[in-house]
Amino acid sequence: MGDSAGMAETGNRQGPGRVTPEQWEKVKEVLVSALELAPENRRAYLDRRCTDLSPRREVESLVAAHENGASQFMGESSSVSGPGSGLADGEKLGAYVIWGPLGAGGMGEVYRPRPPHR
Amino acid sequence: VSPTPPPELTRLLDNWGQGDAEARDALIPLIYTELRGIARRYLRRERPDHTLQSAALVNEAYLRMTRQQPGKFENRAQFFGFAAQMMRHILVDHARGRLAAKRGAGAPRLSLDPEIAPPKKYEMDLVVLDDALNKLAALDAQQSRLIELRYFGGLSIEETAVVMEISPATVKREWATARAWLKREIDKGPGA
Repeated sequence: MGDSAGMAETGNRQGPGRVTPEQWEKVKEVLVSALELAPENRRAYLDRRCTDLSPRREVESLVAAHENGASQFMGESSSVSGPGSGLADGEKLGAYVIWGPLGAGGMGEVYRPRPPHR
Repeated sequence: VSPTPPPELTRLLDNWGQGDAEARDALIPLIYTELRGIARRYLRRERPDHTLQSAALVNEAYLRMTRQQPGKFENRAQFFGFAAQMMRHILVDHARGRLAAKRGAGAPRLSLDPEIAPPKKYEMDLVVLDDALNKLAALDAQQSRLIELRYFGGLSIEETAVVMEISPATVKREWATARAWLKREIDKGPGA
């Protein structure tokens, strides 16, 4: 299966999330670039970058997931890194809500989480 | 009492980091037991806000083990990388067991205060996350591992980069795309 043939392939089950590992590598590349842009510029970028439909739909679906909260999902935004990033009370961390710090140590800071539904 | 030679954790962790399966087998009894003991103590308390901080549990294990091994324990990132994997198994096994028990013999008497969210929600989340991570591993093993390190081990971008021997910039990119993928997968719900 050649690269471009793989990207445009329609024989497998269609729809978001049905990509091969090879396709995923390309999807990631486009997705990363798209996410670095301001949300209003993403569509135009995909118009230029994706000439066939199948990776575009995959990227669009993941951009939507990102805009729908994945940047807060499981922790911090990707621009935050390293020690001392700091989490405020009430901030969401994955499924949990931060309830103040417990301590800080060798590998980072430890926070007291509170379950989301109460 | 003849002093047993201290387990060579540093060496084992280094070898494990280089893909040595024997080192992995030697590390499991050394680290897994410690982690499981800590996890059990926390889980027994049944405080929903405490049960789940995988990273905090790993951190506690690290602190305990470094106290037992003064000056013998320099590769922290490797330790956390290994422990993240173990802790994922311990917590997910626990969550699956609890869910199975609830489906079978009825709800166990665990919720002390109905105002406190029942642990069930967390257990669902962990089981759903574990399933999603396994699916991601089939697509991209490196990304699945990266999420494991960050989420279950609490490693920072830089520490994750050390364990995985990739650049911090790559960690950031992979972290962002993996989260978008997981978010979509988890929102899709079971059976998708």
